[in-house]
Amino acid sequence: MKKTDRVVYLLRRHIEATLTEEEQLELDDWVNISPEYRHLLDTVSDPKLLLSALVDFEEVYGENESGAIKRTKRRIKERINKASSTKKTRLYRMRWQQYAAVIFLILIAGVAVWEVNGVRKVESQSAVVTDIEPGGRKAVLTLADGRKVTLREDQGSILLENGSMHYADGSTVLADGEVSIADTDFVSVSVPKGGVYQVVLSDGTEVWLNSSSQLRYPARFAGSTRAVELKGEGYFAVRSLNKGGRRYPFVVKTRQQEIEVLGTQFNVSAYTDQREVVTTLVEGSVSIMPEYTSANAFLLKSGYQSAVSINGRSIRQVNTSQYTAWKDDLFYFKNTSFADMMKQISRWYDVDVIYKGKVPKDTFSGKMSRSLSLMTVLELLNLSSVNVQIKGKSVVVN
Amino acid sequence: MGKFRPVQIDHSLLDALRIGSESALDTILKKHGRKLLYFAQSIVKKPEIAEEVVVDSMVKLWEHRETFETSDSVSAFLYVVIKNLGINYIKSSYASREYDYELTETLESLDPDAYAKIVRTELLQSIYDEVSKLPEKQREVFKLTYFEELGTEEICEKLNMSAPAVFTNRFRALESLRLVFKEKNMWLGLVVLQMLLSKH
Repeated sequence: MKKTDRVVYLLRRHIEATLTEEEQLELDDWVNISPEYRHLLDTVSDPKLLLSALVDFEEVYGENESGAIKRTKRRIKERINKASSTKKTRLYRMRWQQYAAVIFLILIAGVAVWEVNGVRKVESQSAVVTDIEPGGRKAVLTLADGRKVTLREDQGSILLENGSMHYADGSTVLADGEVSIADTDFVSVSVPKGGVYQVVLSDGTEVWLNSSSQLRYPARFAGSTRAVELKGEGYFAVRSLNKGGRRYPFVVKTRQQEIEVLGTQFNVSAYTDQREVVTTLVEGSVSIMPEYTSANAFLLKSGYQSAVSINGRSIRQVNTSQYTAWKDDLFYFKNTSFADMMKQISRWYDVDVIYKGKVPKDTFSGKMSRSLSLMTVLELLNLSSVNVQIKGKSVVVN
Repeated sequence: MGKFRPVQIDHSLLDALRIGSESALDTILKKHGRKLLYFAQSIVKKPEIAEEVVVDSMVKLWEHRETFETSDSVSAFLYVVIKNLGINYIKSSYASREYDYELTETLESLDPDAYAKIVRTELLQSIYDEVSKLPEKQREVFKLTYFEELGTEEICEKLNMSAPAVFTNRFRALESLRLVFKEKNMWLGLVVLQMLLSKH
């Protein structure tokens, strides 16, 4: 499809009249290959024809779009299941030589039918279940006066500049006429379950916020330190700031600890449903000040991870990409316990996890795309003999 | 039961498809359904036959699910299958649904007529993707303002929004449209507006 993508790109540039000379030659070459290509170029160059093609494309499903999609899905399912059941029956076809074992076979077949029926029941149950789509770019901005603005899902990153909040593409978050943000204001960005968002601070520091997280920060940093408050999980790429020979440290306050850095990249996970606040250093070094009594600040170097609780701290060497994979749209597990894995899944798909029995003791390793639907993820997990099902907005572990 | 057992997982959408996840197939249909149907219609003309062809192509994809390495190859496979099924239909009223699919067949080996249709489909998809990026609220406010010529107050009432919110959404819609389509191409703006209109 690479070649096709290239041709599509050239055609779009042609439509927008932004082809460079070289690109023009490239498009000419392609068009000269065949009269059909020439014809295509001519039709998309005519606004009226392109317009009607776009309308056809938009209305391709006819009047009842969702109905047509459902019908297509159902017909595919029927065909697939028919194909697999013919295969099954073939398995039970016997030859006349096996006559002697016929009673035994009837017994087996009886069990098989019973099993197949059992499976069918489960299948028809799960057919009613609605799949749950993965999370997306969701966040709410809260201004100093308490006003809340839902951030655009087609964007994914906001930055504050001279009292004006922008998305990455340059469009403004607040419309003209709405009050701008004063330098001394604190704003906060809250990412719900099933969301992720990026925030660029006034000093150029980038922060990725994971689901169920919140960052509170000033519109402009004042004084000798740059301090922000984090709930939940965030990945920080801190810009180092030197002015007039002075270095301005950057401080992240979470529950149970404060992190002080000069310029570095790290992930900090401080969810309230986990006992420890986990800091993972990707680059440089940070100083961590735990909150528990008798605590001293300690230094964390790149490739290391600290876990701070109310009782103490521990440090170990880790593969950092495992802990930052979420910002690259991946689940990354390494000997991760079932419960921890489900916590991540529950945050991203905005579901509750209900355990019908004991929590499975298996550990999981590997990567999984965060853009899969929940059903797909669960089907993958069921394979490894853990039985999980969607029920409404919950995941039930049997 | 209950024993410690390490489980290895490594899953993208294609991995999920490979091991037989039906919801992965749903996701693929959701992603590609519109363009596949459009392409099928460009070959067989009749909408109900086009739908049949798309269903068949997805079943073929399922049957060959273990062979795909990249999502590009999924797209290419579906196009090739739809083209062949479509041509079969035109030639023989769809008697030979069970043609033998050759995995060696590629997009490049298609005849120029079919390939031009694929390029056209991909082009429309790429423009469509851009237009559908406009958020729902913006589309709504925009439509009411410019086509139903309602005043701000009426829109506030109709959409249950505050006046600033209506202004914000109108402003943003205009701004996004300006960014997406350069001033030079006013007609492309018209295309967008047409689509906005047909949206609801």
